[in-house]
Amino acid sequence: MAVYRKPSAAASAGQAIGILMLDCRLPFIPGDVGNASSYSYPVVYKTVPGLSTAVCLAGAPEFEKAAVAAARALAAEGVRGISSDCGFMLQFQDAVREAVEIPVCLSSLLQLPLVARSLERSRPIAIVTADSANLTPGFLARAGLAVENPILICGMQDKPEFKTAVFDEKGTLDSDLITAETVEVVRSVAAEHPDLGAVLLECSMLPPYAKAVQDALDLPVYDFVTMIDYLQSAVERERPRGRS
Amino acid sequence: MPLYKTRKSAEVYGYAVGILLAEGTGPRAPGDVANATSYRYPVLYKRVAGASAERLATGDPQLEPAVVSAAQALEAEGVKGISSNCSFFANYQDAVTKAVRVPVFLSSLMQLPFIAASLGRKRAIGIITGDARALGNRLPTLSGAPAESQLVVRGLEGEAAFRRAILEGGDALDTALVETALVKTALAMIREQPAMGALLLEGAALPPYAQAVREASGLPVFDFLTMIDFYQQTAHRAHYAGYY
Repeated sequence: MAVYRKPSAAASAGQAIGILMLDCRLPFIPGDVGNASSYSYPVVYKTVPGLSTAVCLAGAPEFEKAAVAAARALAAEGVRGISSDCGFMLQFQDAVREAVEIPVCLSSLLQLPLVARSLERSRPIAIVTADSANLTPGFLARAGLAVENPILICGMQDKPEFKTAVFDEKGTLDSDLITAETVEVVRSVAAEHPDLGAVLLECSMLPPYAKAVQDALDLPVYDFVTMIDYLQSAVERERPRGRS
Repeated sequence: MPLYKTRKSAEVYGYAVGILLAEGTGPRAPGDVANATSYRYPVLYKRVAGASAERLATGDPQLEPAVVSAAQALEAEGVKGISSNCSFFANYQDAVTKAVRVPVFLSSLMQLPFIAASLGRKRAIGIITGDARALGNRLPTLSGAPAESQLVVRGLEGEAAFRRAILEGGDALDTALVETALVKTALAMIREQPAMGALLLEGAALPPYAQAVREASGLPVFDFLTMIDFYQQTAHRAHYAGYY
């Protein structure tokens, strides 16, 4: 029998992963970071008030304090690690990780050095992002995520269903259409780069299509959910039950 | 109906992770990298002839062809990624990534850049290794950890139960004794370094005790299995069967 103490700020308990959310209303389908059934364990969400998709992608230093406050609130509720639902929250990574004592993985891009190290240095890595105009090599370098492997940045902004569902917030999302759009994007980059080594889906709305991407290219596919699962496994993993 | 092609070097199918094994026997408890019940998925082992602990630790160049050919054999059998049961295989990381097309994760230390990026700069990372004398000052080279990371290393060579069974290749391992010793070591490190942000259990024989360390310390604990589980997931993406 163990003794449980009341955490300072939690309305409920048991969530090891806290996720900062953009302030937007979008259909978060199974596999999306913003869909709780994407995980085999509970997570808790916290919106950063006023931080819209467009504002976050364009760069929003004025929201740093709000992101830090939301992360501190999650930490006070007892989470053991913090992530987010937008890879561009990487801009708040330094401020947030200095503000709390637990691991902070605001962007799926944090996986990049590990992905790069697993491959020969000449092998390119494709990053599929919501808007390639905003994700530049400079953005990665500023975050300390520069790697030696060539980085191929592919945007979804010109794909009609993705654009109208995500950027225009039309209120519906056709996942069959976005599957086709995502596969088209990665097939095109793989055709130009036959030595492609891995695909990293940067955007938190793309994990639902990871299987389709893998079926098309037969390459390892990394995304927000693989990172959050990884973080969760460092916080909690079942004890071994096997045989010797 | 998909079309399946024969893989000429494969006798059986269905392995995503291949694991290179160092020479040596000794008890492989559930949770050890070399115990197949440590995973919820099949893994394929390949022993590297002549890969003694001493030759691996010094990165003997004469061993390189054997390491490379074992990795190539695993790839030919169809694995989608390669790991190992000794972090000193990292001495051959470059040679193996050049020789195969699949990702290569030979050392648990490869996780250090990710761990460091997730923690505030004042946080330290505690590394618990089988034998701190062997790891010595080779850590930065082997791991690619950022130079400014605060790494604290502690070995288990002074713990009799561990030393006899693992370092000296004994034929009996008392996991209860080793668990006690490992938890005691972790808690001592945290007392000496209160800003500890995460722990990394470097050795392939240490994952059986990771969850005990998590429960005793409240810190995230990374090990060989967190890395291999992570890779398995990226190599075999599944459909998300959640709800909306």
